[in-house]
Amino acid sequence: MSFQPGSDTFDVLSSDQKIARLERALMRERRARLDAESIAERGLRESYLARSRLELLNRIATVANDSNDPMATLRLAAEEICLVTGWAIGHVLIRAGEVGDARLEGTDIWFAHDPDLMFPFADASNRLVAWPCASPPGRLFINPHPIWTPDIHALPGFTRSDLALRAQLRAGVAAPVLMGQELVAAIEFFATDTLAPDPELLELLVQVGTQAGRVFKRQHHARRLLESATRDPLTGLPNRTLFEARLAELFEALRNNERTSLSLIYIDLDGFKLVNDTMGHQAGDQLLVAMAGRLRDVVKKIEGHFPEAEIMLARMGGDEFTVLVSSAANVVVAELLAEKIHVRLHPVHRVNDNDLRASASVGIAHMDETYTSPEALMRDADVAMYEAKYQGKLGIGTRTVSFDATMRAEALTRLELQSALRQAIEQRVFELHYQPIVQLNERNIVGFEALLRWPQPNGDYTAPDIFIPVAEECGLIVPLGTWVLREACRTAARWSIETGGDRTFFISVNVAPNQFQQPNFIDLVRDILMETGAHPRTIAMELTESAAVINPMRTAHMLEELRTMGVRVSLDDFGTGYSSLAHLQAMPFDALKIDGSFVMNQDETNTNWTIVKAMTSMAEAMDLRVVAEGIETEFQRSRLQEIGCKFGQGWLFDRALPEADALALLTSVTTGDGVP
Amino acid sequence: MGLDCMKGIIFNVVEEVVHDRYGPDAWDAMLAATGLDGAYTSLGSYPDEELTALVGAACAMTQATAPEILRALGTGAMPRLHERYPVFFEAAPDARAFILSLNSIIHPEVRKLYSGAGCPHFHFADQDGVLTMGYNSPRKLCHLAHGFIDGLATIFGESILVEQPRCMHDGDASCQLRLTWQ
Repeated sequence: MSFQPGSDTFDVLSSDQKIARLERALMRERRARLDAESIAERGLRESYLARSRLELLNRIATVANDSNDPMATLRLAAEEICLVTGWAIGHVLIRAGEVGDARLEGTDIWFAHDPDLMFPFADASNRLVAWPCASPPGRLFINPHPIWTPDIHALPGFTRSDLALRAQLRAGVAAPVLMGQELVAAIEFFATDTLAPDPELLELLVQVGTQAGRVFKRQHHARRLLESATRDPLTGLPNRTLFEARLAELFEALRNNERTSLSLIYIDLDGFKLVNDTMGHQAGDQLLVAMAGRLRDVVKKIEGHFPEAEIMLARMGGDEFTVLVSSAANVVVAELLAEKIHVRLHPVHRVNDNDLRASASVGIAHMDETYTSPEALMRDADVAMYEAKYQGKLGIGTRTVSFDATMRAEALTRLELQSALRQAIEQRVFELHYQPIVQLNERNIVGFEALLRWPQPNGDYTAPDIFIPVAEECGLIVPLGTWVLREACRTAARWSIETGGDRTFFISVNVAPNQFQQPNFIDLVRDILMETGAHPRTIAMELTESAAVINPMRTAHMLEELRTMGVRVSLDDFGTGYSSLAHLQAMPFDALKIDGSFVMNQDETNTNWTIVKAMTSMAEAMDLRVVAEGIETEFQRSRLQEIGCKFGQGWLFDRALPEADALALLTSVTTGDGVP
Repeated sequence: MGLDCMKGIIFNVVEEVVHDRYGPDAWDAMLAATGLDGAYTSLGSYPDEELTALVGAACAMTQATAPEILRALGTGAMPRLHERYPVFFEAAPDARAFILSLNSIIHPEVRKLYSGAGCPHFHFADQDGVLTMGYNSPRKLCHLAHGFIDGLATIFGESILVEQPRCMHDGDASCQLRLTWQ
């Protein structure tokens, strides 16, 4: 630097001037020190705040990382933020309701430095419901950023202002907790002073909201996982695990003498298994989903009528559903549910161009003081359901059964019958007897209906109407039916040889619905015919209407195949089931068997003749032969003949006979012409 | 640090007050009398005994008692503190609000600036307009607090009667300052 002040410039200064100069220099030094201190203090304060906020965020993040409970994280946040910032109270709000109904609801999660002073305000906050609106916290729905209010008393629409005033609260801040874009909770703080917005605190609240949002997200995923463990993935209904857990809870609550009572409904879809077996699992699944939807509708409707009732619908697996009813009016609610379930399931459901119909067997068990475990209640509802199914097979009852103690004994009897049946099938103790089918005019025998007989060691026979429903229920009907078919074919083959082939006859075999629905039924028939050497013309099959309508298109197709083979098919028990003309027209039956109940015990006074006449005319119009069953008197025979019915069977002609007697009869009398 | 050390800001403010009240030479004389070097910065901390020694020197120079000196220092410090930290004074609408915010705002703020500062905790009882402050710091600086309140009243343009029904210097377990607004 070339500039130098002249040396004489300073020499002229007096000592006073020097002192003054020194004082000025001192003042400058002093100001510099104060500035330096102030700069350092600002830095210290900032680093203190940054550190304490970082520590706070760290504590919250640590809890958030370890927790699946977002409320615990928010509880900690409310406390920590109050402690670090000195704000008087922190309170957590939780989102409730879906879009259109969304709101923030207060919780009992709050922290205050002075809980006694804050209690009335905290209590009001707990009961707060904030709808989306212009003022906080409802405004968070509209604008999901923290909202700072320097003085809440200057805020119109602040609903808790009276209590806030009493708690001496002034400034407020409300911050959102977001899961993605969705507001899932909020946290609000109030201070006892009016305060200008603090950008750092606002930023901190955003970060706390993000941390808590992560926990909500994790909880959401955890719930989804749990849900998949407790929900049936196909129907979305609670599964067995969840159902049994809730049942156990309610059962326990009831044992602790709480007021409401319990009913358990067991629902089994009849015919579902056949759909699965014949149309594939995909169709079965579609049917299940549709039926589950209908059951859900029923439950929803009943819930609307009985708001106090807790109703839980669950899928146990397969085609089994259960409903848990917890209500003061449990018996009424459960029975109404059962009634509505039958109604709602009745309409046909269309799967892959097939009209499918699922009916249900419903069993109900009502809780009473004799029950000591939830399992017992479940078992009894199951027993009642089986009773309903059994009655359904017999064609009696309303397909809903409420459990009573005698049922357990009956169920046990049926269980014993099942095991005896199984043994009888293994040991081939069954017999086929043959009841003649005759021409009504000449009484000439045209064929026989093969009827299954189960001889007992004491020489008696167990009646088919006792063991057939049990066999159907437990699936034994399929092997049993196959045995009947094979046995009848052997007999037919033998008889053809015995009669030298110059005696036309047929043996009619009953085919059970389950048997008919076996995917390989047609192949089985073909194999048995080959194996036994029976001529297809000597074999007829009787199929009930209920079996035929389960899947009408498939039935029509199978009937066609049987006819192509040469086997005839009759529609059995006509008049007792759906009697649907539409179905009948689409299915190529050869004959129609009028159920015995229309004929037995009828005399000239009875109006049933009109019905029989109508059925006969209809069959004639459709080119079907008619066989009347259950003919007991000569009057009935002649009446039926007058009506136009050409064939019949019944005690008037003969009972079902052992094979040798039937053959003797066949060879001894004149051949009938025309075969039904 | 802790209780055995006092924050440099106290010494700075005391120097300023002494300068204001007793003239430019007084502080230097006090330092000379006590043998202290007197280089205090608000960022540092200094032994409590240094303040005690300075108060003692002031007593000797002015013939006043230590309580009188401390009270005078407190009164005089308040405008200086106001000057340095105006934000705390602006947030409070009146002296009562300021005093009541000592525990919740002022002292936490002090701790933000000076980590480890041993700020006293006051117990407040507000009854019929009379505010009672309980104080039991082992430093026994109740007279300084008294002076602070006087200075505060001046800043807020209020008149506060401060009585001291109990004092640790009289053998009580804690001091009590009773404030009546007039």
